[in-house]
Amino acid sequence: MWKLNKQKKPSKFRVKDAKVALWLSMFCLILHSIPHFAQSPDLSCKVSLTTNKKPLSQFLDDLSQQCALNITYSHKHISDTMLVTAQYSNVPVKTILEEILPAFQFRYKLIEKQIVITPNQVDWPMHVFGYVTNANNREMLIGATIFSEDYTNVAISNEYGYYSIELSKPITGLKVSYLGFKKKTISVDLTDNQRIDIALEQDTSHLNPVVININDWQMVRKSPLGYHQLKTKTVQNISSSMGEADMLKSLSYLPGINFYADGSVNFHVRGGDHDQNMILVDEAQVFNPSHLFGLYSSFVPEAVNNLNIYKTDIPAKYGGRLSSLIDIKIKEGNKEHFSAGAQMGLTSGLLRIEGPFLKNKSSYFLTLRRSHIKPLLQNAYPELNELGFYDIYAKTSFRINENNKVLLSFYRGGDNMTFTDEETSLGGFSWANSLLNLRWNHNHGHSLFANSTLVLSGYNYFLHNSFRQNDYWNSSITNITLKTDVNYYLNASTSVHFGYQLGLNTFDPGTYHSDSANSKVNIPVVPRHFTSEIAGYGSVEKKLTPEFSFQAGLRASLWNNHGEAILFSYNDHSQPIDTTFIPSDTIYNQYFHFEPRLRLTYKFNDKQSLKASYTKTVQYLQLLPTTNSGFTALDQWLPANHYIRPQIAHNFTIGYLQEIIKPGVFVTTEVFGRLLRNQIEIIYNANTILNPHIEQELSFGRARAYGFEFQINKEIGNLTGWINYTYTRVLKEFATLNNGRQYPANYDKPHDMAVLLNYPVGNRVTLHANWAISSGAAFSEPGSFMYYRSKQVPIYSEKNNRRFPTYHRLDVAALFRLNKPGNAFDHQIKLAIYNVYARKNTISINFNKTIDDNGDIFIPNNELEMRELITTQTFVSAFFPSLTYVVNFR
Amino acid sequence: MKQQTGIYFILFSILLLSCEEQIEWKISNYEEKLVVEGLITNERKAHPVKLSKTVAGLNKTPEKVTQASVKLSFNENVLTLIQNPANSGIYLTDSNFVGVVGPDYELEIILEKDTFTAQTQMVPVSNLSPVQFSEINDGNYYQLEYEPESSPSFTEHFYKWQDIQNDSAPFNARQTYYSLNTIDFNRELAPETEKIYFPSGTIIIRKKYSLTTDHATYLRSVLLETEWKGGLFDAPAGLAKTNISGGAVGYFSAHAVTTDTTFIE
Repeated sequence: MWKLNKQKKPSKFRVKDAKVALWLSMFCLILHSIPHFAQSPDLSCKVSLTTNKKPLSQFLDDLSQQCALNITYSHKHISDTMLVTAQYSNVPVKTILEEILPAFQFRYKLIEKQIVITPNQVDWPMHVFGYVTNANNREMLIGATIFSEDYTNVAISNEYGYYSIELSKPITGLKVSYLGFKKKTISVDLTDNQRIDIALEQDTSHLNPVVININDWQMVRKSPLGYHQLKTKTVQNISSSMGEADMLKSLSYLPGINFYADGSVNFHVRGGDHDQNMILVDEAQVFNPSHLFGLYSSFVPEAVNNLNIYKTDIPAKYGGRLSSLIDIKIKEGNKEHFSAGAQMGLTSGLLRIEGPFLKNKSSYFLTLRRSHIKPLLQNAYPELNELGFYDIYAKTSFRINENNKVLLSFYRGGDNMTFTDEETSLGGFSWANSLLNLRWNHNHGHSLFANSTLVLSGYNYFLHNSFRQNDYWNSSITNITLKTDVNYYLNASTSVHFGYQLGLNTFDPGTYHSDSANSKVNIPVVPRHFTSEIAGYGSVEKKLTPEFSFQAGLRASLWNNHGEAILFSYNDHSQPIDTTFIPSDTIYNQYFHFEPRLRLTYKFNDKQSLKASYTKTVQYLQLLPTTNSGFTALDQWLPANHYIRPQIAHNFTIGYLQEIIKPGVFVTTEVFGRLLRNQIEIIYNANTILNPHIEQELSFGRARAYGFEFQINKEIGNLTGWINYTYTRVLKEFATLNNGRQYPANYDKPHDMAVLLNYPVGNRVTLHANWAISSGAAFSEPGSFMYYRSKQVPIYSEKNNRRFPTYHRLDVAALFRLNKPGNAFDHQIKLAIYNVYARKNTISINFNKTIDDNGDIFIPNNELEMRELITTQTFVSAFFPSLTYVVNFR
Repeated sequence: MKQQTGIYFILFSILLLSCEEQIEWKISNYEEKLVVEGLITNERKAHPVKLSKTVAGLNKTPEKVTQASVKLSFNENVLTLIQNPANSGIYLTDSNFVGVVGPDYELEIILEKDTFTAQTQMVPVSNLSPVQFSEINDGNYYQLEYEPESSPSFTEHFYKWQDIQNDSAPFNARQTYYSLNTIDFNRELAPETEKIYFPSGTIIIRKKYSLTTDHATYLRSVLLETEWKGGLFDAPAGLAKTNISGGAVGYFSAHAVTTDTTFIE
């Protein structure tokens, strides 16, 4: 936007050609941003000239020529009707400018070795807005901090890299920072609102930029409570279970987040259950982010631009889960030039290509990952038929013009694990997630940014009992969502966010298909569920005083259950006594909820701040808690309906943040609590598969979680990393479980500590280590055993009354760059060791097996032998070394 | 649905590089309870009700309950069960007792000041399906193939492939298969179970027991904690829902039984 200065505007001033003025002004700005190597302007240079009604612009050009000065001005402000009549003989330029310019309501400034002519009066405040990108590939930088040179005004680039900062007084520069990139100062001379797209250069001073989860002090103060940003560079150093970097599993090193077990992708945030985490990939829900039961997650750092984590203070634009939001953005692709990469590890390989269709306007990105586990195991396990997984990430972006951009992204990930049984029939698991997403970014001037999204997502999973007989169990979820989100930057102290979301869901809780002619089992038919959700929201963020600010929001959500459906009525013994058929065009059940959000921030000084927040969240979908194992595959999602009320959480957080010792070292402490209502557990020995009366297998209750987190984060210097400690308790209460007494959740791990360190050795080697320790997970220990039908049967008296042994593990990694930094051909080797000291971390304890003379452990089956049973523990691999080769071309 | 026990578990073990080892574990909060295992059938014989106490750890010998008064009521008849042998904790009906389909059978156990009661019915049993087995080791051995039945039942298989000196155990092996009319991933994904292979010439005696829906549910919960435990997606641990009141555990059940004998050639 280029607006006219209407205050005290001299009558001679007239805009003849706004476009020319705009381009010249932009040109001037570009000139400002280019480093100059000329000498400083010599204002003592003496000039002799005589003019008679000469246009001011020509007069300035003459001055410029005589003294070889770089005088910059905008034709928008200096018109040909401004005429100068003067006579000077051997007079310094400085004197001439000081005499002439005030007569036209102008002044001059020295900026970056230039003499810049600007009007005396402009309308304040003004806005600078635009996009922040990586100068190397024009990838959007999410969460970059833009602040005025005096630190009084701050803006953070949003999830599309867009920023808008309001300035209330003249400044000469904007500072821009983003961790892993060189800080940049942009010279500005505002006479009007200006769009400045900022490209930051990567910091190659270290092989790996500083480890971060909070990227700037300014951002920390402005960000929500319990917020982290995990960068791909950080994650690439961290080894996960098979030595490969994994975006999701790296969350375990953040405070307040713990994973249930090794080899599991189920994680718990501040006492929330694992189905209470919303995982979004480019705005689309992912229902099962795991591969191979959870050994890997679906998200590789090579495909991810950014991962934001909201642990309690979830913005009003997001809803649908109680405890956290994991917001993942896939890379858009290199808009500058073609680049490619490949990676080969022990268990999987990856290929990446990206580049521009039109330079700086459109791009494509494609990453393929495929496992190669089967060939490694084929000889040892000939019964394996297929064993592996794949991921496809594709994205393209088109910048239609300065204000409009379209993005299309696609993800598909799947698993296939089948075997050959003794009759050469095949069985096994397979599942796939699919996402297709179309987005339109639109910015209207300096103050409004809107994003509209259309999402199609699906999750489909199978348990194949026999391929030969075509016997399989199948369940699926499909979702269509349309939403629009608007950011309106009202002024420096106020911004407003609002939007809507419409969603349609179809759930197939499970269908069994069999071509077996002799199947005698009566297989029930479970009807599908059809639902829709309409949500609207708004929030305002306002800085009331330099010290005090707040963000208040409200989300309203309406949930509908649609026909076709069959509703059952039950007697007191949970037996169905009547059915009601609901036709397809009927809404038979609705829930409506308001979800308020409030965050207060008080800044004591530049080093200390205090925040408090309250968030009410509502969840209409739940994962049936059919297992305690922590592994995923046969998950069943159930929607809220007339039997199952939506889950509700009241989340409270208080946080204190301080920068200590020296810049770059932060201490954060947050105290949190959740009150969770309408929680769901299954009853003892529930029958949840293919059960049309599943609601009779559920128990409803409540839970509460509370605790605190403490983190020291060092972001600057050679040794970087963090140490955190979290204390969390999660207690549940269900009338029909544990005799109505309160009990700890199985993921209740009171103490959790993690240390993560990075250290560069020279320019080519980076050493990495991470160590984690936590309380063992809770489990139900039998209070006694009984003999029944020749079996020793455990009898439980308390739920989750004991814990597994303490969990701890050390991983190390070394990253060797094989070329000089900055080469177009870049290749690295990563050597990692998972679980260095081979700790056997328990994932289950069982009391039902026996051991033979060969040391083989199995379940006895001959009821006449009465073998002695033993107690066993299961643990995931101890000590796993891995080697990964990475190559990138650019 | 055909059971694929063991192979999924192998798959799982490969994937997770998981290991299982024996550990020492002491139960921390032992709670003593009365265990009742009462079973009547349509066979003419003395039917037992076994009473014992729960034990504080695996493989411990349960304490027999020898001071109880046990009564069985049905159709206004009341039978007092006699402990035999003495102090065995096994209480028997008279040897001419035959259970039938129809009446409610009520069990009453009085132990010191406590009374425990249970009620059950007998449902008819369907015929046995033909025995199915497959060759193992190029025909030197065989393995039983079990297809689940359409109605709830369990079938005991007694194997005899060589003479046994000890008369108290006239068979080489006994294996029970359950048809609970449910589809359970815990069963499909159960850990590896001991295989029973038998040679040619083996005699297999099968004894099929009918099951009420409640007893099938109970047996399922027992299996979830025993044969099906330790697999991919173990169900949360839980108490089996007994039909015995008063805080006792176990089950009192009635079954119609059918039997046959097969000679494997």
